[in-house]
Amino acid sequence: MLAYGHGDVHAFEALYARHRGTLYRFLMRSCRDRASADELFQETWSRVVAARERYRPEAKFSTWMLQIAHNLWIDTIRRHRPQAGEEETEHVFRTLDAPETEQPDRLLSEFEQRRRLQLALEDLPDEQRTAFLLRMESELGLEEIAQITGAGQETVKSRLRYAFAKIRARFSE
Amino acid sequence: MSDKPSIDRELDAFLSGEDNEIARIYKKLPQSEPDARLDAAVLAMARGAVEPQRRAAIRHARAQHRLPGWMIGIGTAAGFVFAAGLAWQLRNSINPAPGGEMRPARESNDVINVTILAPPPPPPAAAPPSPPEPAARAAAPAAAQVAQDKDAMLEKLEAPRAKPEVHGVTEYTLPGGSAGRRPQPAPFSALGQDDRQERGNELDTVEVTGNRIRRVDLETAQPTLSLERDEIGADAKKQSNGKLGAPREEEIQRRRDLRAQAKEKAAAAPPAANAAAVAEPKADAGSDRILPVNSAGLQRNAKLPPDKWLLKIRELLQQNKRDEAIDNIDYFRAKYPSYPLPDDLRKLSDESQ
Repeated sequence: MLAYGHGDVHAFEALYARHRGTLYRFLMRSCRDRASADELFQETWSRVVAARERYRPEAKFSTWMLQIAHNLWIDTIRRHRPQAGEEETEHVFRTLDAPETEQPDRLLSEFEQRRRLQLALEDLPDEQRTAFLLRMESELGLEEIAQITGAGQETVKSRLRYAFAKIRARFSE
Repeated sequence: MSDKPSIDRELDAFLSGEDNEIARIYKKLPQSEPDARLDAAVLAMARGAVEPQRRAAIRHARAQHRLPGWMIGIGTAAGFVFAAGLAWQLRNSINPAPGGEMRPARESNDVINVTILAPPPPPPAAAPPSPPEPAARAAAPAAAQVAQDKDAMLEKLEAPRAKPEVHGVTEYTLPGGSAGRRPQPAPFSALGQDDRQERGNELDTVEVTGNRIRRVDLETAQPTLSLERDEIGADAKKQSNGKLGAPREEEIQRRRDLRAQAKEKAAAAPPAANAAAVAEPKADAGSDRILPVNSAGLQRNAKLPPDKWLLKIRELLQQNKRDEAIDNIDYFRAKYPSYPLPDDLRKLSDESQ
């Protein structure tokens, strides 16, 4: 990032190649909407580019970038509430996976597990989902998640605990 | 209540990076990625953002490395001056101007030593003036006297002629070296300007000692080529191959032949002409007695005042350098004919002759 701040385009290309998937998945699972995710993805990188000369390596680049993305997503939530609800999401998955879900043995196939996890994530409150996604997607620790979300570490740990409990509950249904 | 410790344990394992079921399932979720259009848009935006900055940086770097105009001008002018000077030097070294400025050779290897030998004794041409009428009556005795005088003079000159007679050493440079001529050594410079001019016109022998003789060897160098005007025709090849000219016997024989021819001519010549012919060598006797100098030591000694020169000669005798001492005495007598020479040195010189 420092190299790009001095005008090295190749440094940015390397940076982009390393973090594009992480950022996009974080946004995609936060927004649950590809268009919004695309918009936020581009806007996040735009903010990164604009802030290239102000960047100071006090934190990991991924933490800094995800913090930008998180803030943008929070702004989007505030602008677009209410979001698509659980019923809409369930409808989409049901449409796609009807034959699989209608198997008589009710065994939780792999696809069903993924679907249930997806539904569980959809059900989570935003703060809990963000904490969970940051941990799962970017493998961030409590401190980094707390930095990104602007919350305390204990708060982050509590959010993660609630998220785990709800996901477990979804799997045990 | 029983699930709470289980969740805590699972969370701790999750936070510590241990694999669990939820993490395993999460990794199997579709790995969404931005499409190519989005990638291109982001990269284009990033490139566009730094392009003005990059151009400004390039302009700044060029401005920093650009030399000021005045420096370019001075550099160009200096280059022209240097090139002109170089061309001038090359032109002078290739085509030295005749009679132009003399410059010393760059190396002693560039020097060819040319030794100018003394001309053969000119035919007697002058005689003491005699009254017109008695001249006719005394024609035969006068001719005989002329022949005798000439013989004596030639015999005196024969001994020094055994060695190369040197009027002076002139150094010429090879074409590869700088054109020029070094100052001539003392014996030659001791002569008057008119004498030098005369002897330059009378050059009949040239000895070339070679062109690869270093300065330190100049004193002991022997000529590798000796040419005499009389011998250039038929004996040129023979002379050029020999060292130090013809052998002494041949030289003496040649001198005797010349003497005999001169006697015959003197006998056949009219008395007035003989008288004139005899007068000339007497008039030039002093200058003809200037012996050749082909030794650097002799040249050095010749620069000394007469009294110091004599001391040098005695030193040579003490050092058992008899031949060199005799050469010095001969040359001393030629150079200072009126200077009173000590008897022992005079005897030594006479004995050698």
